[in-house]
Amino acid sequence: MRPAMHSRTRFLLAAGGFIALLLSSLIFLALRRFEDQSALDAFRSAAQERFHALENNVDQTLDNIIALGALYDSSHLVERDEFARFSSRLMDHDRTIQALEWIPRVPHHLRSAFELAARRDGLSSFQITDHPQRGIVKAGERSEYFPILFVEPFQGNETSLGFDLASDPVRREALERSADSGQMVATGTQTGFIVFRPYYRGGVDPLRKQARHDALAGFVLGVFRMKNVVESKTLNVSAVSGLVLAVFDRDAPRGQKLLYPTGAAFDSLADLPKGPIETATIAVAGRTWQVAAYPLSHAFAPARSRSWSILVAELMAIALFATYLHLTLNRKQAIEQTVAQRTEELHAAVDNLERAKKAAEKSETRYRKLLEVSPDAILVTHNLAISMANPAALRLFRVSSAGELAGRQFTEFVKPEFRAVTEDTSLRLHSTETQLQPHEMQLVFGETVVDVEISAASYLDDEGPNVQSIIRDITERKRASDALQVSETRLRGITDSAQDAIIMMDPRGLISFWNPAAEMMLGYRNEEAMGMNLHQLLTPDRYLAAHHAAFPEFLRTGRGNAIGVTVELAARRKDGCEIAIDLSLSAMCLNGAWHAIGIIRDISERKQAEQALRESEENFRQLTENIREVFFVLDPAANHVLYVSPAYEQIWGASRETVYQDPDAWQKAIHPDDLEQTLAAAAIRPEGAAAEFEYRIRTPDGLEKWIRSRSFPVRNPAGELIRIVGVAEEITERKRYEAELIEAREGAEAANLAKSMFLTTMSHELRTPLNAILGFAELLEVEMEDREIHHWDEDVGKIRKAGNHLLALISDVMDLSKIEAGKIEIHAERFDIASLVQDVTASVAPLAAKNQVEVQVISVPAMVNTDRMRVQQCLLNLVGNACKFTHNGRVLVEAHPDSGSGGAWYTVRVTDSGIGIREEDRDKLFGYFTQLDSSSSRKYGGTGLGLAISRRLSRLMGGDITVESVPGQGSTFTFRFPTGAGPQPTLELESKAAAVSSVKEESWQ
Amino acid sequence: MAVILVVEDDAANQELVTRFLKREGHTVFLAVDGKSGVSAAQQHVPDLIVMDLGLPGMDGWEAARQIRSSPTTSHIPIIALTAHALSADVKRASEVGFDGYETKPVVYQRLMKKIGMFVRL
Repeated sequence: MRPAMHSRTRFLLAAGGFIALLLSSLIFLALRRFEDQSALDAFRSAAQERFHALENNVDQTLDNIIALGALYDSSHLVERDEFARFSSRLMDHDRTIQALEWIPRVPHHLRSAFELAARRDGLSSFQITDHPQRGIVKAGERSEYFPILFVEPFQGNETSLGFDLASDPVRREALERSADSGQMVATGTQTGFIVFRPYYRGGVDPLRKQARHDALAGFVLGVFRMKNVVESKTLNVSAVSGLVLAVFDRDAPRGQKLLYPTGAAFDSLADLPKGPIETATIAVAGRTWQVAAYPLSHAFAPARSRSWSILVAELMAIALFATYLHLTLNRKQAIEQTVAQRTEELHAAVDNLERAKKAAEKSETRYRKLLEVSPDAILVTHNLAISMANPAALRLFRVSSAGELAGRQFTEFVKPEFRAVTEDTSLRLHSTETQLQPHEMQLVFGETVVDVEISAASYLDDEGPNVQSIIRDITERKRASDALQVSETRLRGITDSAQDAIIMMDPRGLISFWNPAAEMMLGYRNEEAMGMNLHQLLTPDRYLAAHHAAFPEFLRTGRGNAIGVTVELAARRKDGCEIAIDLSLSAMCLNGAWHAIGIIRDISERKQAEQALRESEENFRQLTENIREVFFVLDPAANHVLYVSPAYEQIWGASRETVYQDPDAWQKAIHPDDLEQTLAAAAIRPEGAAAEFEYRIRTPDGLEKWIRSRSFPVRNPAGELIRIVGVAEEITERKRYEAELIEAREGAEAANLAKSMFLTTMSHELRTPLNAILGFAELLEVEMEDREIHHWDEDVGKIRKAGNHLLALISDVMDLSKIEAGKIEIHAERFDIASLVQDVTASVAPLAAKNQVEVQVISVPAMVNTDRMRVQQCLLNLVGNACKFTHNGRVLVEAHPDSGSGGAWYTVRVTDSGIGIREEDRDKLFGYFTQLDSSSSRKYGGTGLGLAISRRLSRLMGGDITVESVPGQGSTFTFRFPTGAGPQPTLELESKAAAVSSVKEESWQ
Repeated sequence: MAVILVVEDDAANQELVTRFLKREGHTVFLAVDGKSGVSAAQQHVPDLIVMDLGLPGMDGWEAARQIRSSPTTSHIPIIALTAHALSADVKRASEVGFDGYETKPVVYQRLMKKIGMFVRL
């Protein structure tokens, strides 16, 4: 090579090399700047990606609270186990959840009821508590409380139960903000954050602040682990992307701002180390999080060393490719620029796509999660063909996978009677309407019929109209509702048929229940009474003050003097009159407020009965205290005197107290001689009836009195002797009269006996000398006849006649005396009366012959049972009289049985054609010594006692003798007597008829 | 003729009855009371006894009963002769074993007729 060439080349080379070196340096610098820029861009891009991921994670985390809130909104009342089931399902899906809780709002007046209910629900020592710096104490009194009632997981969180979150100022502020806004509100903790979500009564957000405050029923609450939120697998920051995330709560006070990482030395954005920092803000449930990303220092170093090695390599290549480098530098730069530009554009496009995709995914995730956890079955159908079913739907339809349902017709599962309406509804949802309000129907799965509540909405997608249905299994609810209905019907049956009025009063004092018995008793119909103020309606004015005093205490505690007892009161009826009542009051707590239940019994009748009893007792008392008899009541079991009336004191001469104190005082007063038999008579035997006895007593002042006692057993329905009641009276006077009477009677009897003896003796003593008179007169007659001396015949005859008359007189007087003294006895015997009549008639034949009297007898034979001697005496008297008082005439004797009046009689009629008897003389006929003509005794003979004796004898036999007469023509005496007991003799009718006909033939002309 | 015992306490009646019976040819023993009447009956064993009822000491009913109860005298007919005209007395007499009954005053023909019923004249 030529030196000029060399030097020029060397110059050129040196220049080129210098230029190359310069260029290399420039390239190196440019490359390094580019490399740094690229690293920064990559860092920024990675940081943004992490921010999005974090935001997404936070949203997913908050979805748990949304789902839990939705459970409350749709169910209104969530039981503990349902809460636990739902929560654990959420926690299975999401490990960021540290705890889920239910915080009811408890007003102060319901605090104790709430605590009691929680304890009954299984939280045995539940109470509302505060958690100050250290320890747990019973919550102080506040107007309302927000205690943790449900917490999941339960294990490890027991001590938080009952903790009143409102007792912590930070949480209280968050609670209030959430309640007022209706939104989720977050607040930080040391390791994570808490999110509150309000639940309003009925599951509906009332939208206005004051209404929200009134309707607030509680919060659902979630506690989330910050570490898990940030470090989910998609966000494993430090390990993969060479950058570090820090999260701060912008709104937290200084010193508490750092949320992540825990334990770092900085507390806010400003404290971060110098260097590239990418920041962003995320709105999290009403708070603003600042997120910062900064690179780990070693993440940038390799990028620089690479530029250095490139520089070395370049320098080594410069010599070889200086020119080439020189030539290609511009082009390379252009290419680089284009590449950078394109890369940037691509990044932007990817970012946009990524963001849209994330948003879609986010929505999809949220929706899917709701679908998965929803306790209600959710179906999507297209023209009733099932295209999607959530897990609850699979459970409801008894299938294990969605594939089994896909494409099947929903109506297959609808009970036939609901199919038409279902199809109709489906049509309308596909055309005119977009929503279907919840309605009930029945689905059939094989044999099982399930009651469901179904609501649906339609929406359009590219495949056309779809219907999304939410199906809730309400079998349990129906059963519960049916059971409730049965229970209510039963209760209604009881209260409707109750005899007592049953009424209820609500906490405002208004009537909330009124049964038919109340209508009857108090006069107000149900519709009149319901809603009226109970006490204004029913309580008499005099009781109102007591009621007003007791009512506030009752409202607060459910207690009062009248609660749980039965009191006697008066109630005012609709018509204004008062009735006496028994009121039984009890208290019942419904939804934390006290109601009263009253059972009212009308006791007017009982009151009247009591009044009547009092009056009766007063009458009894007046009676027993005023009668002269002693009235007493004994308790036989206790040998105790229960009552003795005041008359006791006058008769016994001792105070009643002595008897009450000493039951034997009665016994001690009894005369010793009477004691034994009195005690025996007084003893009431178990099965015995009344006892009646008499005895003597000796009073303290020495008097002896006669007492007559009657006592009666009083038994209970079982027949046991429970009382002895009795009356004792003094009978001293009566005893004296009785003694006198007995004496008098004995005297009379003795006199009568003496008279009887006298008569017997008289009869005997008179007859004895008469016997001698008549006997010697007869002897004289006989012996004078023997010697045929007739000079004294007439004189002896007079002696005999007078003697016989005297004898007849004595006999008749004896008879009469005996009749009057009741000494005559009737000696009944059976005999044939007809033959007796014949005998008697025959015996008077001499007299009849003497008076030229024709006697005819017509007799019908009959056996009679009576005193033959007395009948003979009567017949002799009547037939004898007829013959005696008739001269030159006829006597007819008719004798025959006679069944004329009441029983069997026999009649003997004696008819004469004699002098007859005047009517005015007929009554005298039967008197003593009454022969009608005073001269007749001499003319006709006889004692004048015959008819009197005969009539009396006939009456002694139960018969009688009567007379009919026509003076101057004759008389008929009728002797009629009972035939007596015993069979009548059989009569031969023919012979009787013959006898009668013979009478006619012989009847006197 | 028969042997007849008359038991009678009244002297006038003793004489009257004795004279009635002797007039008819009977042999008459007399006793004045029941006791002597019973022993007289034992002693004489008469064909017939006419006995008053109202006797001093042992009365006629008792005397008749004793006469009836003795084998020696039980066969002797006894006729009551008495002023006890009451039916109860008659009944009582027939119960202790009297065979006939005559009330005072004694009627001659009637008494003889009754004795004739027991004693062959």
